Amino acid sequence: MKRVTRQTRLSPASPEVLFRNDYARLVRSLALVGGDVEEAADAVQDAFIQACVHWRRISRYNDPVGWVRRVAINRLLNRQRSMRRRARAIARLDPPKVAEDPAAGLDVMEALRRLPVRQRTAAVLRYFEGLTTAEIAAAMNVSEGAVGSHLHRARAALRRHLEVS
Amino acid sequence: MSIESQLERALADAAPPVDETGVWEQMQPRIRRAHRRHRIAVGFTAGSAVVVAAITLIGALRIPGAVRDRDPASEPAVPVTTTEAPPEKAEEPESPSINDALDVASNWVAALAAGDVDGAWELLSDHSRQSIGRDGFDAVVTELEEGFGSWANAGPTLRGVPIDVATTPTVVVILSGTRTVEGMVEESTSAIPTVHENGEWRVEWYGSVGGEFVPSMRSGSTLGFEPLSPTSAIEWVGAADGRNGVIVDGDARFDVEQTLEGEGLAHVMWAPAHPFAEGTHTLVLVVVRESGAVTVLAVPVVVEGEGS
Repeated sequence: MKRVTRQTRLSPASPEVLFRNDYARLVRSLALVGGDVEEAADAVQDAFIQACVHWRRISRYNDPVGWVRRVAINRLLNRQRSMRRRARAIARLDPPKVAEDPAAGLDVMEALRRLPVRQRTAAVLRYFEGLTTAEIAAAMNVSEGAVGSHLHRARAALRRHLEVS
Repeated sequence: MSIESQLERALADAAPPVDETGVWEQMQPRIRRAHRRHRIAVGFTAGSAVVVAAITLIGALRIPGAVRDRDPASEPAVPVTTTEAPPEKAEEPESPSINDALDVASNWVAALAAGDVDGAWELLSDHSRQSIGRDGFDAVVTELEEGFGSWANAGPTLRGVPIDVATTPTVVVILSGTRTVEGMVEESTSAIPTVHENGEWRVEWYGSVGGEFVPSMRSGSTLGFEPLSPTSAIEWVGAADGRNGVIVDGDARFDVEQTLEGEGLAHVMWAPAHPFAEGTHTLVLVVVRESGAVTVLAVPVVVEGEGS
C-alpha cells in the first residue's frame, strides 16, 4: 500500500472541501486507534456534521481539520468508554475488520492494540498521520509534555514486545 | 530498522482503505437535521432567557424531577450516612452551602441539555476555563450534551459530598438514576466536582479534556462490569503526587493503601472495614492534587452475596 504522506494544509473554503481533503485519512487514522473502521467513520462523520453546524466559527480557526480530528477522537474514545461497548469489545477483541493484508505488520499491530488508549492514540497520530507533538497535544487535549510521555511509553512498550517476539 | 520506521510502515500497511464515494452526499440529511436542532436550541435559549433568569432568581432552576438527598429543614446538610470510620475531615464548610453546589451542577446539566454552550461555559471554574480554553470546550460540548446533558430529563438523585481541599471549598456532586445514553436505558452514575470561588460555586470540570490526571480503572479491571463480593477491595490507578480516595455511597474515604508505580502513577487500594451490603453501590474515585485540582471517575457497582 502506498505510504501516507502529510499534505500541505489547505484553507478550506467550505466544509465539503475540508471533507474531501481529510475525511478518508481521518477515518483510517481513527480505525487504527479504535480497531473498528465503522466506529471510526461514525465518529469522523459526526465531527464533520458539527463542523458544518459551527462552520462560521470553525472556518476562522488556524487548523479546522485539527478541530474535526479532536472532536472525532473525543467521540470515538467516549463511545469506547461506554460500559456496554467496552464489554462487547473485550469479548470480541479481534483485529480491525478491514485490513488490506492482515499479515502485514502483525507484530506491531498486535503490540499497538495492547497499549493503553492514550499511548495508542499518540502513536497513531505521530507515526500514521505524522503530526507534530504540538498537533498531537491539540488533538488529544493534553499538554505537549503528556504527549512526550505517552510516546515514550508507547515506544518502550512496543520495543519490548518486538524484542520478545 | 528503528522502531519508528517499523511503526510507520506497519501502520501505513494496516490502516484500512476507506471509500468516501457518496459519503458526503449521504450525510446531507443528517447535516440538515443538525442545523435544525441547533437553530431550535439557540432559539430556545434566547427565547427562554427571561424565563430562565426569573426561575434562577427564585432558585428553582434544577434538573426536572431531581431528588435532592438532603433535609431542607436543616440546610445545609451533609447527606452522608456513615457506617464505618468517619471520613477524613469530611466536614461541610460553614459557608457556602452544599445545596448551592447541587444547584450549580443542576444548572450546568440544564444548560448543556438546552444547547446553551455559553451558559455552560460561564458555570465552569477559572481552572477549567484556563485548562480547556473556549475552543476546546466547543470541541467537546456535543459529548457533554449527550453525556451529562442526558441527566436533564432523568430525574436523578443528587448528593453533595464535601472533600477536604486546602485551597478552596470543594463538593463532589453525584448524580444517580436511570438515564438514556445512545438509545440505551441504564442505571448510571456521574460525578461533577464543584468549587467555591469568587463568592459562588462553579463546576470544576476539566480533567478529561484538559490534560489533568483522571483516576482510572486498572488494565483488565472488571470494576463496574462484574459483581463484587461483599468483602472485595477496590483497586484503581491514582496519581503518585496526589491524594487518592474513594467516595463510597456518599462517604469520602482517603484511608487507602497506595503504591507508587512510576511515571506519575500509583496503585491505590481501599478495603472496606465491613462487608458491603448486597445491591447497587456508587463509587467515585477521587484525586486531589497539590494545586487543589480535583478529578473524579464515577463507577456504579453491584455487590452479590451476603454482606452487612
